[in-house]
Amino acid sequence: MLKEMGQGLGVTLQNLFRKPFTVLYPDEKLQMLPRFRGLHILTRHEDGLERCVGCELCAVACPADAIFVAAAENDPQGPRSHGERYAERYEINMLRCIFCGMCEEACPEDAIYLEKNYELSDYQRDAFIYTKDELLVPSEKAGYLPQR
Amino acid sequence: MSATCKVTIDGHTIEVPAGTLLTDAARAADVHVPIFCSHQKLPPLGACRICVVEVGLPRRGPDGKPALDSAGTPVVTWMPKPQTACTTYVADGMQVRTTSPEAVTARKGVMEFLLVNHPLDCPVCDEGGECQLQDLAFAFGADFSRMDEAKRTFVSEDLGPVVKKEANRCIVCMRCVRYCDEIMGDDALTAHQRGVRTEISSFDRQPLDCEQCGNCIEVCPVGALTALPYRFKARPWDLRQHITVCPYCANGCSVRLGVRGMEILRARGTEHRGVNQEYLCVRGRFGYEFVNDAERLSSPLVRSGGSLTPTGFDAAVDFAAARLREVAAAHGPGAVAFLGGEKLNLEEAYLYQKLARAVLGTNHVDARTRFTARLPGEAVLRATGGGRPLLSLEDLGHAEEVLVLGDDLQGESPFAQAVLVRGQHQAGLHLTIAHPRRVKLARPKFRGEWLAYRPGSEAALLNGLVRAALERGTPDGLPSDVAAGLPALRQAVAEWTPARTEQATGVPARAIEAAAARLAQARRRAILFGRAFTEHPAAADLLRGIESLGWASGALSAARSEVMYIGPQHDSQGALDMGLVPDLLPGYVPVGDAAGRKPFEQQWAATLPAEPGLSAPEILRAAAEGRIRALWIVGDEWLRSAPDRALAEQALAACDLVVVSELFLTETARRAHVVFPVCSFAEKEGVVVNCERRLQRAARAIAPKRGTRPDWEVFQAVARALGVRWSFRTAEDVFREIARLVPGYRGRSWATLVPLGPQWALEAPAAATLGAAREGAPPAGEGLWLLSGGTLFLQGSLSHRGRLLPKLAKAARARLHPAEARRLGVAEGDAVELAGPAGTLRLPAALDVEVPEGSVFVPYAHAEVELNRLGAPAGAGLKVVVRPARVAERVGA
Amino acid sequence: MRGPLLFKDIDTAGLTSIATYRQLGGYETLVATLGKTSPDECIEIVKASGLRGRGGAGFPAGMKWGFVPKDSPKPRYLVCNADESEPGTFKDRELMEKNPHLLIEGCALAAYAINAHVGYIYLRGEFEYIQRILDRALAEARAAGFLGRGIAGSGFDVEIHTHLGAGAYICGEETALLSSLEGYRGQPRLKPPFPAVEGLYACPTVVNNVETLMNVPSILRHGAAWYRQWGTEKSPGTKIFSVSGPVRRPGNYELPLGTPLSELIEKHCGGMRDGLKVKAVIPGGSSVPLLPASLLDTGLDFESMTAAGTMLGSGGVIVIDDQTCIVDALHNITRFYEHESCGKCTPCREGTYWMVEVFERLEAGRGRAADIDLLNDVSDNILGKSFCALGDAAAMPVMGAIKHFRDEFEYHVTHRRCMVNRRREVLAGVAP
Repeated sequence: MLKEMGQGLGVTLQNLFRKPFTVLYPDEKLQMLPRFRGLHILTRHEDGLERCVGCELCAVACPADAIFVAAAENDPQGPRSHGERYAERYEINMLRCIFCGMCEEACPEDAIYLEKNYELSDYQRDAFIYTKDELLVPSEKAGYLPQR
Repeated sequence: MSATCKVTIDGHTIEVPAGTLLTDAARAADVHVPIFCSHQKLPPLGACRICVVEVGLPRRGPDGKPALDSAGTPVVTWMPKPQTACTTYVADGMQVRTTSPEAVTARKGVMEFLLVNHPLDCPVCDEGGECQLQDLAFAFGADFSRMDEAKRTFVSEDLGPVVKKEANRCIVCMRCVRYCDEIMGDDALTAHQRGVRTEISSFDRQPLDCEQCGNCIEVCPVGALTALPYRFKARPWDLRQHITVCPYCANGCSVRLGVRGMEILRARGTEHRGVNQEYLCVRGRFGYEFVNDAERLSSPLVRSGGSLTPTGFDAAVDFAAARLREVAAAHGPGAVAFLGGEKLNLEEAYLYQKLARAVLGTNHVDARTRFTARLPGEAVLRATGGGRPLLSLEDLGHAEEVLVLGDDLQGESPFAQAVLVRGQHQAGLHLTIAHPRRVKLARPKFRGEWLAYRPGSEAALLNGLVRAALERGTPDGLPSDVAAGLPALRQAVAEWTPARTEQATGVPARAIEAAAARLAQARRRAILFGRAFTEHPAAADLLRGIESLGWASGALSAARSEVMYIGPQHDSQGALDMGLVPDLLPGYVPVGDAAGRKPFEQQWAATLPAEPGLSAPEILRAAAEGRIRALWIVGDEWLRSAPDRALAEQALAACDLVVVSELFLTETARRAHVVFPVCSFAEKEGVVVNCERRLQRAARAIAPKRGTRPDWEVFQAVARALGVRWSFRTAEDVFREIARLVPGYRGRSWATLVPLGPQWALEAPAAATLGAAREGAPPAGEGLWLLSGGTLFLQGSLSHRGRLLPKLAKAARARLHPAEARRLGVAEGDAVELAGPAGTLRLPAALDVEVPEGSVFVPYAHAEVELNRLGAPAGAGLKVVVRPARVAERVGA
Repeated sequence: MRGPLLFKDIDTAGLTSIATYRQLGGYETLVATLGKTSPDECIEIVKASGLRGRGGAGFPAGMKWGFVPKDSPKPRYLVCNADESEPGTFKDRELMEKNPHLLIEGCALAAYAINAHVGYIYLRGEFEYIQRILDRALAEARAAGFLGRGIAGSGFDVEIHTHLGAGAYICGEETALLSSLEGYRGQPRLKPPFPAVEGLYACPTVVNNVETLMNVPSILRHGAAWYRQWGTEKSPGTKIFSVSGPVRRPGNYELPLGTPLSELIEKHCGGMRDGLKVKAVIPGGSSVPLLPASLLDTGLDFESMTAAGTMLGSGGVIVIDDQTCIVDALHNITRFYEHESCGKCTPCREGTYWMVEVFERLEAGRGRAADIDLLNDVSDNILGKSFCALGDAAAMPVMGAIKHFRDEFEYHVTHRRCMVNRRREVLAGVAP
């Protein structure tokens, strides 16, 4: 009886001095693994133009039907992407997204990646529809492609 | 040669008619043979080579019988080279392998070649997702490319406002070039250069000078030709596809609307479906824009205190019903009239006249608002054989001789025109075009005969043709009443010798005799006529002339009719069938026929008026004179369509109640007391009847725009407010009543009207009325004959609402022969003033050798042209004085 | 006398004038035949003579004439194919330049045999000067009553016109020629229907080569047996061979069919110049596979050539010496076909382009080991799959060259240069 109790307390004692597994989120944040899939980003070419051409392959690949794309024709004077076509609207409903990464796999232009951001919470359901402004990386990150 | 051949394709043995191409036989055997250049409407070309298969024929012994091997099976000699299935005709005992190593290797080789210069821009290409090359590359191609050198490139071009060309994607199947030439008759596309540098473009690399139909885009198997109006709008998987019937002309083409969300993004034809299959004209393909228009009415309007104010539907219904009851009580049911309805679906047309006859007790119902004189409701029916089985549009292409009477098919009936062009090109069809203008089909290119009669001599031309046809003998298969009437007819037209006809019409005597002879001798023939004759002031006479010509030439017989009426709207025929005419109940039952009326009275639980009502032109006058106090106008911009603008204005002002059912706040609607916003063709379902009298059920593609409802719901609501108990829940309910009651429609089932319903015919055809046509008196006054018509791009009152069609149509011009213009001192582009008996119209002039001297052509469907301001035509037409606007100003000042 | 038949009088001064031609017996056959020998008999004589088409395919001329339906209500046409577009072939040019009346007489006789009243001589675009010669000769013949109404005193009418093409190789193919003659894009048409049934303007039409038609007068004059004194059993008669390449005396030679190729080169052309040796010979214009030097004893007739893996073709004999790079020569030929492919069918249009790209890589020293098999494979994918023979013509020489001279191709890949030094620019006397 005492023996068992001693064993049990021993385990407790052992773990008492171990560094805890939990982190003090949000003060502390975990380093995500390279293949972690969080909120999507839309990337840019080196020259700052959008990689996305609005082909909608991500939308058709999406098993949760979370992506909406509407394309338009580039103004040759001020193009948004390479070529003739760009995504005028690009929206992801993060309430529907299951973070499977099929959109990333389907993309022929390396335009969409699931990045590390997992802090997706809000007070309004509308706010979970991420628009292109929120997804597109800033111009400073032109040419950035996540390592996979 | 036996009539059928047994062919074995990949082990499936099928029997097909001799003369079948292997590609079609494979389709029948359910074996997939890929194609690119081959097209069901074009002769075999054999260019793309993707359909290569292995073909073997049975070896014949010396006795001509198939040689057998020791096991008793026929010995097959395989051809040394793979054969293209699209150019190989079946033969008895033919063996085909599509999956043998040789066939597969050959097909893979061709696929690899097709991709040698094809760019990898599928993500950007509008064809992506419905591209045949993409599909076949997926099915047969390799997953990597051995070709890693630079591809040849071209610069992309906009070939006008419709076609975008990306030649890099072109696989030179030549479908577009051949379709444009052989079916559209336009020859607008050609191939430049040769070999790998072959590039499809217009001849001069200028914007395409053509009908802008976009069929080249439709037949392009890749993304080399795409539609500019649809550019990057959506991907095919975004679109819900709904097949419905085009709302423009009487051909009744099937259109496949592509809808994303609530918006129609494109319209296409459908291969192997509809009367038209993949064909659409420019209006069918791009004319849907009005449905999406932001100016559509979204709330009922009721006049209060001089202005129209939005109200609830029930309030508007109550208002209309109360006023109708007041007018009928105060002035009798004869003071109420119902106009318009050629754009209504069959069920709606039926309820419209039922509302008039059964609820309000008036026969003042007429859909044909453009008519300038009264025309018996049965005239069109009799001219087209009295309800005998009618030839179809497909039959039209197999005719040997086709006579088109006074109609510009390009504007009024583009699909029928395409059928004729194809027949002329591929099957040796001969065209005779009777028209004062040199319309498209009358151009020398189509090798027909142009009977360029003088405006106003229509009756003389018909009489001359009837006489010349009768000279050829009596046709076979006439019903007894016609046979009995022929001597009298012969007598009546005896004076119209070819020489006299030439004198009256300006058409050479030889040409009249030849046209009549061709018509009488052909084994299969067709006569087409349209609004130019039915809207003529002397229409009653002309239609009797057409009927006589039909019987005299053999186009009409006891068993069948080869005379087709091309109505002005997509459901003109349906409106006629449903009795939207003052003297007929649905199914061509005369209102005065007590026995015929009986079933209707029983079904409708009402006593129906036995006196024929007033026709549209009579209603116009009666309303202007205050005899008609309440008017309901459905789907018709009456101020523009009525023959006399001033009179129509007066009529609208004089009425105690004007109800208008409309999509837009038109000029007419602005003068109404109640306006009901209604659904467009895409937002409701129902049956429409095309020019072949074919019933087709049009499906609903999108939900009704907010605040609108189908016309029949409006009629029912008003009828109920007037105290009758109608309880139709759907259009199908209404159709069921039609199918119980209406001759020609009895026993039809709603379910069988999709995709293509039957052509109706009457069990007891109407009796014939033979006779010579009387010549109308030439219009009084000096000036030029006014010729008018729809143009290809604008027709009716909805086409000018979109963006593309008015842009293609450009501004309206008064078209004059150069010699006439010289006489008038008018140059191209000069403003001219047209002065008719009632008013004037100012337009820029255009010089056009295709307009005859002594006349001026003005298109009627441009928003800026209000032809009826000039005054109503009378006698045989209308004359207007044309003069340069400068002079007119000086004279006026 | 340069040859027994067509070249018998070819160098006679002033032969282009009708007077000189008639002094040498010209138009006598026409006078002797029209109205005296029936058209059917004419066809039978030509059939018996075994005269085969000299344009390349070698189809028996009499048989072709016999295919024309007798009961067709449509008019019939005779078309002379004077497009002579096959590289290495220049026989028709000399024949028409020097003896236009013989062609006219041949045309008139052929038209009589098939009962055609209109004939066309379709010339390639570059033959404008020959058109002038022919037009002058046609005018003379017309004036002398050998053309027009009731020619040569008979009741037979025939008119012959010249027509200048726009200079496309494909228009040497008979159906493409007819399309071009009708004013359409010069592209081959689907066969069947064959031209004999539905040709020019969808009417029965016979299309014959210049040399073929020029043989007709002497055959009708002297009979089939006389004609068969030359040539072999299956390839009777003589043929004109156009020899080009580094031989001592290049030019046109009329020899009986079956003459060994070596005799043509060594005896008639005087052998090779500058001490060069024969590496290979293209015996029938650029579209036939080349014949390696080891097979030089092959007889120049249709059957022997086919047996040796090539074809007699149009008789354009191109001699390739041992200092010429085969890869370079084939690159040149392939470029020609790429440029001349009409673009109608996929394999020929895209395949020739691809082949040129691969050749350019090889020539530029960027070749890869897999390229040789790739070339062979691309050619194989064209062969037999193209719409007309142009695709085969582009594919066969390359496949033949790889078969016989694979080592030179491999050398190009491994050493990044030619195995032999002399390039075609040097040969042609143009600085590289």
